[in-house]
Amino acid sequence: MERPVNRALGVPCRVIAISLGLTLASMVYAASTDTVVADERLEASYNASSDFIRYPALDVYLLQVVHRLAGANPDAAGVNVRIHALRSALPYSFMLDNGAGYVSTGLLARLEDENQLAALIAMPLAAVVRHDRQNLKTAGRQHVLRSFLPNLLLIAATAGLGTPALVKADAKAVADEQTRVQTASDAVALRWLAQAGYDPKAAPAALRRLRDLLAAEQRSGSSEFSDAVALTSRADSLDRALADGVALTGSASPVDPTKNFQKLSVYYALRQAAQDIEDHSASVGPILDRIEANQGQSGSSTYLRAELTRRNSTDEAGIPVAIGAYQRCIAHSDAPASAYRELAFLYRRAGDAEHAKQNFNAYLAHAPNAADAPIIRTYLENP
Amino acid sequence: MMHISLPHRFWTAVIAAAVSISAFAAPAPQTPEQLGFQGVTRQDVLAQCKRVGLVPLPRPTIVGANPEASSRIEAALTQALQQAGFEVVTPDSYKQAYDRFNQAVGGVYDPMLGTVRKDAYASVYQNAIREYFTKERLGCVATARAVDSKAKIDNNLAKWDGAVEYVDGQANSGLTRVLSGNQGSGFIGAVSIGIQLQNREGKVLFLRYGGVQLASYFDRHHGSEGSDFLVVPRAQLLLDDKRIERAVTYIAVPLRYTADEILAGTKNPAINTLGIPPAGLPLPPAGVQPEEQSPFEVPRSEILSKVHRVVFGSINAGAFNPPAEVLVRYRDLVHHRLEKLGWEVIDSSTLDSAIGAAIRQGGGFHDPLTGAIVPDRLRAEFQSAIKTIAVTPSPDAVLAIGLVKSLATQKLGNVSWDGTSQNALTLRAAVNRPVLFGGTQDVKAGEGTIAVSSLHVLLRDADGKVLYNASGGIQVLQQLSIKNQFTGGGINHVQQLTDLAPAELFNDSARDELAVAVALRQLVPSSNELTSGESAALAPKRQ
Repeated sequence: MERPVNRALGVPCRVIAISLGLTLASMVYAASTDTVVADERLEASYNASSDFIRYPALDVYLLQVVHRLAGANPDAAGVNVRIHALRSALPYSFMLDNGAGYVSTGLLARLEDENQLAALIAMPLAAVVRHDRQNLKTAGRQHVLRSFLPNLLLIAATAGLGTPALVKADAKAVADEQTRVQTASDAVALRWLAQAGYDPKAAPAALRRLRDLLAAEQRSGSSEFSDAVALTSRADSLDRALADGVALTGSASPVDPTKNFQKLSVYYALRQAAQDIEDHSASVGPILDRIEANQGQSGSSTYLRAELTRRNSTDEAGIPVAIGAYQRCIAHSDAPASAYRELAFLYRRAGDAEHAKQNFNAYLAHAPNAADAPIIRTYLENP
Repeated sequence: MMHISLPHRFWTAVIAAAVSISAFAAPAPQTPEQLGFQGVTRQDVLAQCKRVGLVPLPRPTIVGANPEASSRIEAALTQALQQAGFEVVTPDSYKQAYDRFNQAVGGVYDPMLGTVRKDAYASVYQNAIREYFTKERLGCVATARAVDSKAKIDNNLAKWDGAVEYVDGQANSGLTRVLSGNQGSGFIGAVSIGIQLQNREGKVLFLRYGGVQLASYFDRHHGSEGSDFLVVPRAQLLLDDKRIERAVTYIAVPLRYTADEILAGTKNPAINTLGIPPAGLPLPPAGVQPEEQSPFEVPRSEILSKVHRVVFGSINAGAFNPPAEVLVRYRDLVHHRLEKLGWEVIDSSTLDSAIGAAIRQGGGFHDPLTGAIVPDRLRAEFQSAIKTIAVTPSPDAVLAIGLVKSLATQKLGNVSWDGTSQNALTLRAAVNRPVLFGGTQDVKAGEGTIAVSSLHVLLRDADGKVLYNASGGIQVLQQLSIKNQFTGGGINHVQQLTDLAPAELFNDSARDELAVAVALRQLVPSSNELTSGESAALAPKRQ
């Protein structure tokens, strides 16, 4: 038999419960809608930024890597991935919850092969498929609700002195949860890589490579793929996951048989070195050493070395050294036309009119329609 | 006897240690990087740059400035570099080389667009600099520019790049300033001079900025409902020799003195220019409320008497990608408004390509050496284009409509621009009242800039001469949100802007309608506006 008091309270309680439920539901809906809108806005913002690389062939290549991962893993195929590259000296790879993924040119320039690229795409993709961001938010909210009252009591009991310790403990709890969620998703990514025929061991190797190359270039960042400590810790975590066993039963089709990744990587590494001559010269040598160790010397790499030599020379004594550097460059058939022009100017400074004229002519022969060709002709007319 | 517990002892010791450290720690001299040296030492710069060539400043050095400002800066800079021990060479041979190379490449301006051809300009500039080094046997060149900058507001003062000024531009007395209370924190527009010393190989050895003056003032007593900021007319910037001298002194201090001497001279205004009180400088130019420019390039009566048939080309969507129906809507709205003038508006799908072809065939209408418009060529090319589209009888004017992106000021979350307004926090209509009183003003939003879109209308006559040039605001392109940051001293409200997604743009037909109405308002006023003082509202810019 129901007690009257309960029946009397029942209706308002139900109304309150329904209202609360509706409010919570609307909050959850609003939060998810906000996330969708925020991701759409972020995607639009990245796509409109000056760092966005409009190079359809690169987008196609990156999407091929995603398709290979998704083709072998039905759960990965559930996300409509768009992937693009953004210009940045530091390496990063991330994916928004709406499937918009981005890799930086700094990442492409430093990875060894497509196995490593696939690994650093699979890791953020696994986090999106497993809803890591939403799960962490939910866990964070629950943690705040659970710990609110005890924390309040503790703060009151210690007259506020306990606050720093509580804040530290909370931060550690959040970081631990993030690491736990990331480790679980990384394990999924390793399985995907194996099933797609990529080498899962490339994942920790990629992170250690990034760490070592950034150190050699005297660069550091604070993101997950540019912070040395984070890179080491995640690489170790991936090693443990691999030691626990990842079934290597995937596709046997060869990875990047036409070496597309190497071409892209060298291209962006050379672009980075050219940029660094202006504002981070310490990295130029290590980048060029790396390229030349793999590909041998080329007109492009020796040109950048010559440019660096010329820019670092502060007096006339540096002229013969710079001339030598450009001479080594033009010995390569793919030397850029501007190498002849710079060489001509150096000979002109050194008072060697004959060699200056010879190299001005070589420049005009290689780049007859260059913007400065009319000016160079005036040097030939009035040496 | 007082008893001190162990934790108390610990904290007492920590506090005592902190106090003693702060009392005895001497401030360290600034590093070469902080003083403007770019990966080199002061000794390197002094050794390499004994003889410095001054590259002339552009005239004007910033948009809207008086060209005379450039000469004043050059004179002050020459003197400051000489005082720092450099031999300064005048830019005559640079100018000669520049002119020669500019001729050689056929001018650095694109005759079609009037814009600088970057490759051509870079070639001319680099080769002129190379010649300057060779002819004058220079160690370095000094390149100076005036630049728009930001000053940090701290209560009543604005500080930036070694300069300090009153945020109100000295429009109020000291007493009024005190009574007005704290003006808070934030940033305000300013102008600085930037100077770089570069060696022959193009390596920048030294780069430093010196603050000249505020470009706008924050003045609650003289501001308007829309904004408490007043702007300094651009033509009045950079004409104050004392302030220019302060700026170049600040720039040259690291070249003139060692880091230790600078540290020792903290109280000397000749070394630490922040010690120069603004009251000791000439009164800066007065700020004015930004005026809405008249859209008329010729009197409205003249337009109405001469124009009867208008040809209307495609709508230029610019950086936007609106749905096709939005462009159709704009076209219909424009037709509807212009019909009120009794004009015949003829759509032409071939107008833009005809104008493009005529400009290409005519070789453009800009002088490639100076970038200036050549009126005869503009007329000839425009008339040729109009003949090509074969509209009979020939139109009197050409109408061009475009969608443009620009920056507007938001105050307390409300944004007003190009005759419209919107709340940047909610993206709904703006109401200039505090939230508590049913409005949309939120003090936490402060004041700042935000991206907005507008519809731009340009009416030219058959000779290409601009008759009417106006814009109507469409919508904000970013949403403002406020993040509360808890600090030891209270709460900081940090403004954050997020770009709207493409799907959120161009989906409010009421805003489109308003944008068209505002853009054409002065050409096609409503009947009410016509009766309430047409002459004042529609006053032409040049009579």
